[in-house]
Amino acid sequence: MTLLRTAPMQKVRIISLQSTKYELVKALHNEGVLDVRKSKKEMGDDAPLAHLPRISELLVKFKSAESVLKGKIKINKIKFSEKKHLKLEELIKECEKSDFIPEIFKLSDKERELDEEIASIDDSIKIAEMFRGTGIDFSMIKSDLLKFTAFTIEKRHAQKVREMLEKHKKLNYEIIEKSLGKRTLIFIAYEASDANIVNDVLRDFKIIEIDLSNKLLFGSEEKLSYELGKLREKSLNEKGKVDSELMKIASKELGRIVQLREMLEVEVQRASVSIYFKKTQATFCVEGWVAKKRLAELEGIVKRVTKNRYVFEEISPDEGEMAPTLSTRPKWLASFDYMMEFMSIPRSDEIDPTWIFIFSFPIFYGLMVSDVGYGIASFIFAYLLTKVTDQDGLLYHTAKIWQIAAVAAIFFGLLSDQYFGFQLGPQLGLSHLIVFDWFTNVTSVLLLAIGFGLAQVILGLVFGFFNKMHHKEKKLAFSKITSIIAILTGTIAVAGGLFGMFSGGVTVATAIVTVIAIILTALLSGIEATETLNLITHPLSYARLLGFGMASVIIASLIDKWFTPSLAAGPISFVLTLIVFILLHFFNMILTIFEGIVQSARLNFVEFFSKFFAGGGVKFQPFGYRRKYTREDRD
Amino acid sequence: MAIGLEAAVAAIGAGIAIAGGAIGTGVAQSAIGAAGLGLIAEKPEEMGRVLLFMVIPETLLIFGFVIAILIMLQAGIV
Repeated sequence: MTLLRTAPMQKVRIISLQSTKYELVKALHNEGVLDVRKSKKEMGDDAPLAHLPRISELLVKFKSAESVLKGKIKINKIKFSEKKHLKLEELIKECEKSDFIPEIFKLSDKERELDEEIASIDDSIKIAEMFRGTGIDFSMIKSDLLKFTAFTIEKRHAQKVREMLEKHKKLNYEIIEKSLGKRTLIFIAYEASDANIVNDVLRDFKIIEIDLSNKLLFGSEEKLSYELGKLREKSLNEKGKVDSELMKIASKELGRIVQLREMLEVEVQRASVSIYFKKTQATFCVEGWVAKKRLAELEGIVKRVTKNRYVFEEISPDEGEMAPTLSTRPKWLASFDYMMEFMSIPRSDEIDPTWIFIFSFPIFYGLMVSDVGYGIASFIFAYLLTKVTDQDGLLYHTAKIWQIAAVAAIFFGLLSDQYFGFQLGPQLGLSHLIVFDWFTNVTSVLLLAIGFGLAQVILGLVFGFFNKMHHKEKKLAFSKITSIIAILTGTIAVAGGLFGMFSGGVTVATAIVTVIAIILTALLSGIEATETLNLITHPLSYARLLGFGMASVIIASLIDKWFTPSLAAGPISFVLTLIVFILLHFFNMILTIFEGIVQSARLNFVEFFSKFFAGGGVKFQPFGYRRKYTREDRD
Repeated sequence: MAIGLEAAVAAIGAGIAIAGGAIGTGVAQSAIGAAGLGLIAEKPEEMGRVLLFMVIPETLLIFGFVIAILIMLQAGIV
């Protein structure tokens, strides 16, 4: 059972002198053993360290500078000399004397201004292109006495606009029209006092207005495009210069900026953690959770740093407080923990089903895929995916699990004699070695699938029993036992009654025991009684292992059956058939892999976990920092 | 391949069992899918959980499949 429990945790309280605070915080931060919690001891609240505002401000500056430079050069192109963590005063001094930071911001602002300028020129070029050939002089649109409106309108409505304007005898205006394919460009110049008349006319039409204000429009339309082109080139040249300046700074200083930023982040964490502490004038108090096996190590650190001037207490959790959950699995299985977290973190006081998930997921996936070829392809795809995805992301962890599950798919593929839908056994005279024949032995595979279901559901109920006993809920615990009896005897009764697998006497006896067990379950727990139907449906749900496995194998063999003869019908037919053959197998493989992953996860999360798993645990998050670019010697 | 009336009726029955399960699954999945897409639009990180809920009604189809297999086994079709 220890294997199925998360790491035992202990809550501790450390009290020491204010003078040792920074050094103790630093040591705790370096070791990453304590999950710090807000202390509820009846003492005054502590505050962040005095230098926090100063280093926070520096951190913001360095983060901004880093984000500007990261757009110029890839961080993996930078060579880092291993930089030792600087002492706080030295770090602040070095950050403040970094004169390239204001220069980066200045250049970044300049670059943004130039981008806006180029965008504005591009807009003006578009307008100039629209007016090309109209002979318009844009200098006149700066007039105070006249107003100008430009818009495009559907071709069929252009004439109507003209007619409507002509109806207003007093209106003094000039109009320019140009065909733009399905639309017409109209430019109207009129006296400012007539603006209402023009607006009234245009209100009835669906027009797309062209904003002539705040645009770089000057001189005649013939010259405008050329002039704007020159301006654009000038701005682009200037932007190029700014860009190369930033590149120069990036290649020289980005490594240093990243390292200083990391050190600042470490210092900000250390300076702000004391908001969780309590204090008196001379002492401070830290509380938190530590794994029991590291308890002595933690006390040793405290003893060393405080030079024996400390109080170290093992304390009880606050009311309603739950110990954090810490997984003890090896690193290469961490992706399964990630997947569990995705669903819900196991509570520290319940059975952790991750180990069962680690074994059952690949078995279910393997059974559903059951093809050596698909298994090998899955393994390769999964491996490639782990190389190109972010190591903290969902895709990476899914690929890691997929890689392990692919091995099971190869194993079950060998047992089923499936190689991209081909069966080699009959050709090699090894048919007797086929364990799962998806075509002729449906009953056996169905029984195996439901057998898996029964085993997992019963295991879930056993876990449920232990969880309830752990929480001293004896009635609920025994209702799990009566459920197990009901499911076992019910299975025998169904097998005997429907399929004649047991004698009449056994069938009747087990049927009676089943009914009694269900009644007992209902008497012990109403909630458990509502689950009675699920005792039948959940094991049956594992029939999907057969369903999806069969679908995958049959589609693969059909592809082979249809296309293999065409491979021998000449070179062109060979190439074309091979392409279709690969595409169809790829399609079937993607479908199988997707269903395999989703359905395997579902059988675990829905059918199995629902029997015992409460979830909602809190992950153990030790006070610490995962450094990438710097290091700090431990005192 | 000629099959007897009993086997033919059994095959139709198996087909109805699968179809019923598939229709039920489709109806349930359409509602879950619509709600799930709404959730993903606001919280893309919930994609995995939505996918899991999305496949829950497939149990109906699996029951249809099991019934179909049982019918066909009884009728000696498979």
